[in-house]
Amino acid sequence: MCKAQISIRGLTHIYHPGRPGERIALQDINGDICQGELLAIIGPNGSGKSTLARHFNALLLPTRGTVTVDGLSTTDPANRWEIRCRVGMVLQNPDNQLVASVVEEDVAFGPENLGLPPEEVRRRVDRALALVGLGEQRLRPPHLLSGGQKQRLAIAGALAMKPSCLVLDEPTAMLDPAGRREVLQTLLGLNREEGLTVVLVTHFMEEAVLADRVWVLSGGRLVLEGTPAQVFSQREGMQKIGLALPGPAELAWRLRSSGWPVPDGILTLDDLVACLAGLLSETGWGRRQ
Amino acid sequence: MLSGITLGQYVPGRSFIHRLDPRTKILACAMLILAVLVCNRPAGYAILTLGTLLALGGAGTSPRLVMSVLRPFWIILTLTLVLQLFFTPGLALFALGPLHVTREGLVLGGQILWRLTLLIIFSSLLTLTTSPLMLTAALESLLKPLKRLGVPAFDLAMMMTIALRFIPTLLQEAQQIIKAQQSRGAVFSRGGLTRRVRGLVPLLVPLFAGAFRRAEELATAMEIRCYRVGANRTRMHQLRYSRRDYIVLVGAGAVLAATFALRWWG
Amino acid sequence: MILVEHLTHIYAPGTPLALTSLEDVSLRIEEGEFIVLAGATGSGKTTLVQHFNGLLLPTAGRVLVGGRDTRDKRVRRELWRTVGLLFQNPEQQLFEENVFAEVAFGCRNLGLDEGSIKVRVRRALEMVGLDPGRFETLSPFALSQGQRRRVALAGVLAYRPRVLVLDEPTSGLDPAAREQIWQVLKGMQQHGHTVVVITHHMEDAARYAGRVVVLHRGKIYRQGPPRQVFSDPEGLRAVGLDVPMPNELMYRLRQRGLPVNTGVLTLDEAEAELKKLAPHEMNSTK
Repeated sequence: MCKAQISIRGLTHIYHPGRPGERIALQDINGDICQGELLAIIGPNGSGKSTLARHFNALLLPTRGTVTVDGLSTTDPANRWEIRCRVGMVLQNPDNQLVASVVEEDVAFGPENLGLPPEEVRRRVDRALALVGLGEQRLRPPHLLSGGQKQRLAIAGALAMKPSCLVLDEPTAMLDPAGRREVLQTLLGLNREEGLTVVLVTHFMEEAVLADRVWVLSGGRLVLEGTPAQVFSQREGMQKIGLALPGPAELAWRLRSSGWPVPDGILTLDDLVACLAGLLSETGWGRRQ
Repeated sequence: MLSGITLGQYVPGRSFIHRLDPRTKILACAMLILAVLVCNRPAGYAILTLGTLLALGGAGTSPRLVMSVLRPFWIILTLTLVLQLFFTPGLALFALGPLHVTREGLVLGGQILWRLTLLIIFSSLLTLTTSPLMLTAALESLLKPLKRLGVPAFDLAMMMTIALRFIPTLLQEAQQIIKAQQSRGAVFSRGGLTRRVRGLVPLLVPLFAGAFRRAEELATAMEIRCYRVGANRTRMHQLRYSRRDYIVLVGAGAVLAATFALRWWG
Repeated sequence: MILVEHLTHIYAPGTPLALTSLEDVSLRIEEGEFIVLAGATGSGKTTLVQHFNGLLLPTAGRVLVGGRDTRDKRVRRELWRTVGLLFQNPEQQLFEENVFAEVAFGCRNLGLDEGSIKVRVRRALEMVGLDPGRFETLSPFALSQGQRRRVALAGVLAYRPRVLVLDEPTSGLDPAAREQIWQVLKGMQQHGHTVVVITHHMEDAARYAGRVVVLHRGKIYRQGPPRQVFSDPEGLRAVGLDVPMPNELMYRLRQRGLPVNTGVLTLDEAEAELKKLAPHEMNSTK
């Protein structure tokens, strides 16, 4: 059951309205983000993913329509700081969002801004660092951390505000594969074990597969939504907007269309391996010739 | 990558000086710098030199590190010495062509050289042993009394924090851009003045564009975490003086007093 | 073309921040090769390629480009003409007021005359898929990220270096834009250029590289044709890399006791391999 945490109604965003360079970035977006879900937002470059994500914590305000967080409208300036506390955000470039030169000081930045007493700041910092597995690194300078660690640090910085929702804008785009895995594991853990709502903006299809639901943006519109299985069954629709299926889904589709009894809904490599191994040993794989 | 120790670099450690309260370090550093400026007697220099050696020892700094801190300044240091040597009127010791090296020049040049060296060492010790964050926390705390006069201590401190956090990044970026443009055949250090100035365009345009982009992103990142200009922040680390700090403050005060005394009554 | 012998590089030697980035690396790059350099962040890839055009000099060992030692100052000054190096996020290094001037910058530094500069700039823009007539007069700052990336790439192609070295040329681009860049590079190789690319995209590496060189903590960990390097997913994962999905699939099917060839690199090959080995009745319909 979906208990809407963030509600978007008729959201349109226009950059520089009425001035040269006017550009419609988002057009009539409607949808709810449910409490505790992991939502992936995908789309080609320039489709409006980041612009949409920045509406969730009042960094950007709608040109038309509304965005509400737990019933609080982002357009009301009085709600802004409350919303920022409830919706934490992590940006793409880990280097440009770290404020301090020591790991734990950076995590403390948010709570300090809230004017919390030092002991409470300390508690939150320790907990946030433990949640992302950086407790051991707390006295190191951030620039000596790996990309994945830096991004986990940025997540800890957001967690220290005690948000109930975490929005991440392409957090893995600048990381190597190991860093990407690290960050995804952390996010999955936070979502599954801590019950945090996670909104993951990404251009990696393999990441979207891990989500409960997927939104697909193209040209500023929400063109597809559903579970990963539903969304990635729309091969043609995806191709039309310049997105490829995740590799395993693509291969499953090809085999299926040449007559193999491969079921729908294969998304990950695990799915595919299990399916093929079962299928082929049943039908006498390897015993041919 | 950093090529060597850049100015203002913090080197983490657990030495006596590292563990001092940052306010102590700022105050002591200020006192010692003042002492260097008023010092004009050999005895004063002796005291200051002794103080410097103690400080270097207390920070566990290797002579090699001290040299690498001084290296960027060697042109200025040598130039000052040479100018003083040749252009101070007085008793000629020996001649190099038309120029005379004077005794007064030697003394004066030596003094200035030593003063500059001490100044560089003191300020470098401060930044080598104090994390930028502690430094700003200390400044914030020291400036707090001025708040009543309308000085925005918190915001000044935040500006410092960010400047310190990003100076190394920008230096690194500048290095990167220089390399990138050199890879396209740009030459930064040849030709006449106009050519050299024009040669800087490929460096400066991307550098500024990059700095603005970073600044924008950082502002966003700070806003996300509820930073508000003028709002009251708290600090996770409360600064506290310990016995160590009093010893150092008294020591630095004594050095300052001694140089003053030597100058006016010595 | 490029010969690296026992190369060691240490940043800030003799300071508390000293960092050994490369340790005793030896590598031989032949003319006309297409090489992908892979490795986790901090494995030394970027440091290595900066030795190819003389931006960095060996702390120990030596690097020869076309038989000439990069430590020689005269060689170093001219090296950029032979080895065109494109840094990561090159769109951030653009500075001219229009695309033409930007792409022409390298040619101007070569001292070419205006006529041939014009020809080369046009040709380079066409190669990266930007219509010269439309783009030449635009400001680079008015373009999309993918377009600016291609302008930067054209800037290197225009002065026609024999070796092209690119540090993560496709990072941050969507699949369509990525494909475009790889196609350009493939074309350069077909015209006889040597191409060296740093990338994390192993599926792209598998499709285009003639040889994959994997660095780990400043040393060469694996090298060889993609089929061979990617046949060991566990080993690559241990150093923070992925293997292409088709490889991984075959590897895991094989672990389950199915007799498949693990040396497949692309989806097409995987599909063909599966069909080849499966019973005929499964491929019959359609």
